[in-house]
Amino acid sequence: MEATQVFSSVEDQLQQLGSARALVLTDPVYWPQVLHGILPIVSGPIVQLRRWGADFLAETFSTPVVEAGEKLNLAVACLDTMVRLMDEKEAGILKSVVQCSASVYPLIFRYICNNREDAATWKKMDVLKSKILNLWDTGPVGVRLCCIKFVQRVILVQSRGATDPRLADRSEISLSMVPTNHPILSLPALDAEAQGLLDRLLSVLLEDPRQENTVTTTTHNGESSRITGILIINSDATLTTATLNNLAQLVKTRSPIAAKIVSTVLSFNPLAIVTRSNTIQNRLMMQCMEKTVRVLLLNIVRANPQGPFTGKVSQHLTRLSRMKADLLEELSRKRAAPTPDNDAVKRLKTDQQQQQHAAVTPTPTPPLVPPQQQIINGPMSYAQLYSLSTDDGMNSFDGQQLPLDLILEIINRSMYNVQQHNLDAAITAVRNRYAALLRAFPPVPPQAFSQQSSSQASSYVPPPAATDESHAGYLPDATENRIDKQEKEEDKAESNDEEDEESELQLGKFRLPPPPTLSREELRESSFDAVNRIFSVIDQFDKTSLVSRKSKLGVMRLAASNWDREGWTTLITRLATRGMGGLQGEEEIKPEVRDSDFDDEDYDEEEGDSKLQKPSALSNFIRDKLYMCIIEDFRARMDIAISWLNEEWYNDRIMAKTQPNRQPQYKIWMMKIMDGIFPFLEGKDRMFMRLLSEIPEITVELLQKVKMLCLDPDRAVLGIQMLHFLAMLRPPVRNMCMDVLEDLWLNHTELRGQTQKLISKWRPEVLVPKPAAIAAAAAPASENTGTSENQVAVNASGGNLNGNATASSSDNTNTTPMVT
Amino acid sequence: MMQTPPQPRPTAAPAAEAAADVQQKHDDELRGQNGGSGKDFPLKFCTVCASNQNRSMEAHLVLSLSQYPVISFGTGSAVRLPGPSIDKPNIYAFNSTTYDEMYNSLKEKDPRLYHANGLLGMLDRNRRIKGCPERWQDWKVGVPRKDGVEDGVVDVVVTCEERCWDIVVDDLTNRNSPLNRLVHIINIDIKDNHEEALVGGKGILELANMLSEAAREEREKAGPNFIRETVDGRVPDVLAKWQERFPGLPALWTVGYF
Repeated sequence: MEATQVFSSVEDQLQQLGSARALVLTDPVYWPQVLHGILPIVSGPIVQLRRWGADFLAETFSTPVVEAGEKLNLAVACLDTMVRLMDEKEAGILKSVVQCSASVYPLIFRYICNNREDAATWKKMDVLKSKILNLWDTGPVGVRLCCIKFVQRVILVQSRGATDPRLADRSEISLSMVPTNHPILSLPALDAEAQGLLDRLLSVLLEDPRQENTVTTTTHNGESSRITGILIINSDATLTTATLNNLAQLVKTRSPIAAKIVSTVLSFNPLAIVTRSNTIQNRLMMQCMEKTVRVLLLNIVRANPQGPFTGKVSQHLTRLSRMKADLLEELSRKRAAPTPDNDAVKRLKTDQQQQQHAAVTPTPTPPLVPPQQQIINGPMSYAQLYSLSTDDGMNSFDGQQLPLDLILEIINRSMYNVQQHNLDAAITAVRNRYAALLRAFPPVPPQAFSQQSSSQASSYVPPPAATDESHAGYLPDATENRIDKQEKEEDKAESNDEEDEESELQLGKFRLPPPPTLSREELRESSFDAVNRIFSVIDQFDKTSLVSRKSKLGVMRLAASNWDREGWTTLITRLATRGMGGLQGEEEIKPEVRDSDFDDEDYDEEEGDSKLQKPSALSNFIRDKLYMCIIEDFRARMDIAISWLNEEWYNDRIMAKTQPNRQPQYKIWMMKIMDGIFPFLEGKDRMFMRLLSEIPEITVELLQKVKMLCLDPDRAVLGIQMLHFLAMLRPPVRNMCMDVLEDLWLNHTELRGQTQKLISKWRPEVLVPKPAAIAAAAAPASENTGTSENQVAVNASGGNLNGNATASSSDNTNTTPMVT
Repeated sequence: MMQTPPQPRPTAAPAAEAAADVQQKHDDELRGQNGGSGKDFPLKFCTVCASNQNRSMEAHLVLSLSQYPVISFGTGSAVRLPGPSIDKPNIYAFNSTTYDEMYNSLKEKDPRLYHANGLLGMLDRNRRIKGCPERWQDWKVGVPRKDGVEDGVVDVVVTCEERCWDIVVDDLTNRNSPLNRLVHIINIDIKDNHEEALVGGKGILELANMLSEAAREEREKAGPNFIRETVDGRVPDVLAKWQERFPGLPALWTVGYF
């Protein structure tokens, strides 16, 4: 009976509260009043009312209809209630309180900045904050999602905004608001807290935090559990997407931490979830996370297209789509028999994780190496000698099963990431074992080997057995070489490899045998392969605009400072031109690389002058590739053409000094390129002028080609513009250009409309009406341009220079029938 | 203790009733299947398509008939309806031109054409649901509204096209989440035609039902540490189950904030 009474009264109260809320929604003026009214109820014993109150609190600080100033006053008043509500066990209430705290935190922070004395309020906020941070990992998912938002707000408030004060948003609440001598707020502490929270926030993108814990606790078994920890990525797409959706604002408004966030997002592999178990849900979640990453990165880049991340992000997105397509294809193929062996993705995941692991999360210290562990009395394999892991699984793993390139990749990555002191410890451990082994088995060099090595022994200095740090890297190198050698030995004599292995352990001296000499054919094949690979690298780079390509190195810039498209282009063009210089010089000494031997393709287009020294086959192979590469897409690869031709010309100049009988290459290839391009030029290809203006030398033959262009009605404008441009801006070729123009003027009346201005500017004398005889005399000469053409000009100027500079066009047309 | 919803909601959107007498049969069928499933634990929904005409409005209707609080938006720059040819669409402004005005203008232009291609039927349905198409980008989240969602926030946004999802997620990111309030943004890919919109509407309703059911279960759950949990952690699970039932409507989801 009593219960129903209470219940009905609760029902009534809820109804009243409902109408109060309806009132403030229609008229927000009453909001503060209503909120103050409900605070006692929210702290009361009736849970329904507390639920309602928590929701109303969250709504109050969210709603845009209540003024920020009003919210601040309310926030100070509500802190106690919120702290109390954080002890509730209901997910719904907690969600509302955490949401509410996220709204309140910046307000209280600003309030404390301006009210230095109010330590009590800040204390309350601190209690609230620590309660929320405790729930962050342990609460129900819904609450954790709200915690993520709260943490984002804390990071925003407690980190610095734009470093440029002009860009700073004054209304924004950030660390910059805190006065340096504030009695409560300590700048370094707040900053450090934000950094810590950011690391914790980003950790969801790195790996499963629970795994991380097990790794740090189980040190004796650290090695293997760390690896599993890397492989298992937190599957919880809910937390991951929520985190991702909170990062854009941090990146855009908090430049000091932007790089860290972006690099973490770039290292996050949203596809990994599927490789763990390929269920419908995981596939769906993979798509969701991939899309969320994509939208986030695009948002960041769009906000600042000139920003530092644009290049990396666009590369990453292309790669991501490719990987996703590959993965989906693979999945659909393997649908019948799903195996957990998606190498590509797993590999990438491991790589990225390892990379990131060192950068952001603390690396768990590997177990102390038991120095004299398992020194077996008796024969010991190399694998045993070098294995420091105590894990049986690791020890029994046969590294030879992995493909070589993967192993190289792993070694590379781990060498970058390994801590120096760990490496030192490991080296010392192996060295001690080795020393122990040597003591156990005194060196007795077998006959065969000592004979072989005796001839080389003089050139080899055995490593000192000292244990000081500076020699740390020496021993492993040496022993690795030894293994190489041993492998070769095995190839030669498979039968007695067991003895060899043992005996070699006891040897102090050895020398790597020289590699087998390559046959000419192999040499040629592999150099061609190498060149082809360089070209494929150049192809892979995105076309960046000239502006963004501009190097930031300034004076420090070298021809190939960065391994970007430009750097590789420089490399390949120099390889073609100067790169083979040494080889050519050595021809006499080394007949096996002589050009004529492997020059079976004939590159001699012109003047089969046998005295002229032709370039090596490899140079010409590269040149041919360059030529094909440019011709394939000459508009986009004009820069390659320009730098190549400049290199050729320069090299021709250099070589002419030392090898006067070398065949100059510039003209050959320049004309070849022009022959390739000219047929495809269109009237609108004004960029072509850049090519003409930037190549180092312009020949008469080239201008003849331009002239042919002028005679094509479709491209006449382009041709004449080129001549105009060259005449105007390349004085050394002005005369040659004017010769062409004059020829056009005299012989092609239909172009006169376009050529007249140019002629009147630089060769006004041509316009002067000439006596028929002189014109007739000049006519045959004008066919082959050159000196006789100049003769005409001289004649004309001698006649009447300042007479008819503005000769009417009708006059000129009258002369033409006579001239032609 | 009885489970009383913390915030009493209106039992039915008035717009839904207006629409009901037009599509009596269609609606009865839906009611029969899902009678009042949204009523006792209503998540609030928002449906979004390009022009706030076809797909989002079909879903709006279907959800409101099942008593879910629902609002709807379009993400395009303007409302575009097919015209006499593909290069002559009828373009109207968001937020100002009412469905009724569009209906009358099209009826005046070419009643036979617009009747035959279904536009008049669609606009007639829409003008009984709400006043005019609304643009997502202009939505002031959290400002109280007069319709079913009086506090101006929703729990789930359902977009009907991947592009719209992109725009919504991007737009929410740019707004910097002033409300700090959690929202699930789900895309259900629906082709923009009448038939597919009907299929998609049913799919969205089923998703809403499944989410609400999960929310109810979570709320009644008493875990060792926490009680009355929320649906948020269950969304991936529910969505995957839903996707298995509707493989023709590819889904996408992310957790965002208003």
